[in-house]
Amino acid sequence: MAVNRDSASRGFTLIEVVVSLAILSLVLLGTVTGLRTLGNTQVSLERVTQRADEVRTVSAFLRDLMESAVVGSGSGGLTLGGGGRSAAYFRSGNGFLEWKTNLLFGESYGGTYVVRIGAEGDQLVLRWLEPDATAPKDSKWVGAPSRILVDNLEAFSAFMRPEYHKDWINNWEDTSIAPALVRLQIKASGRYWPDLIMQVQK
Amino acid sequence: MTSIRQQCGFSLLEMMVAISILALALGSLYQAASGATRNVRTSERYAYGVELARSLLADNGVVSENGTQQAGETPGGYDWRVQTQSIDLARSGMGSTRLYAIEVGVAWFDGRKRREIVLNSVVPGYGRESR
Repeated sequence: MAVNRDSASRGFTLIEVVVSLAILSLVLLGTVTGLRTLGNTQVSLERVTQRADEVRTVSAFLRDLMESAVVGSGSGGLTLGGGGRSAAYFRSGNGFLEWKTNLLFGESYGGTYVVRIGAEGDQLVLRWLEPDATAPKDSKWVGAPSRILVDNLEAFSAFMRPEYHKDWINNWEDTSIAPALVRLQIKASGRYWPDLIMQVQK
Repeated sequence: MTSIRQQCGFSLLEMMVAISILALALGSLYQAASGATRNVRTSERYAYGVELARSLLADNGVVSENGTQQAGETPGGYDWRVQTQSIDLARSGMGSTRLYAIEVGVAWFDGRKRREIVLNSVVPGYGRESR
């Protein structure tokens, strides 16, 4: 009985312990790797979703802003002598675009503003100013209120078409006429956005 | 002897069953995650495709008198086509107005599956006065 008991309560041999530890470590390694992959997947999912969301939101916003552009009263509409206020304004330059449009902050509050989208550093920034009779000078834009539209911007360029059947040009001379179409090329976070071609209200 | 017998740990079979259940659970979790990845990528491609189609529709907001038939492929792998068809307005009393039904299609391959979005609209042709 005593011998029997001794052999029954005998511990593991070194080999058994080593083998079991090896198996346990393999199982743990597999589990931890799997969990880490899940975590990485979560992060990359969030990044891709954010990127798609950015494309959707920003392009919808820019389309709205471009479609509600003020294109002047040359078509014989009723004007109240607003002069500079009701005239169109459209200016483009190296890495920026300015036009007059109806900007809404929320549902009910807003009005006619001169807006500017431009590359500032590695961001695409929207700025807006109250319109006045003269064209806004560059110095006035510095302190204008702003919102960041796109982060990690790598390239931004704008092309205009004066009429539907004309060619794309990249410098706009007459600031008192709005073009028919605007095309924006944006590259952000290492990816080109689809070309945004937008109709300006006609 | 009986007390020793009660103390013995899990049998190999029990461990195997437990580990295989763990593996199954992890595997299904993993599959769910990869399905989510695929769906997000699909949704991103849809967003790009819709943007491309809207741009094409804006680009052809006014078409020439003969209508237009265009097709092409972007570097991103999107096949696009723009087709117009003249709408007969002879009996509607709208005179010389020319309208075209326009169809913009953007298609792409998601793995082996072909996906497509089609936008339909009606656009005017160039009037004589705007030429």
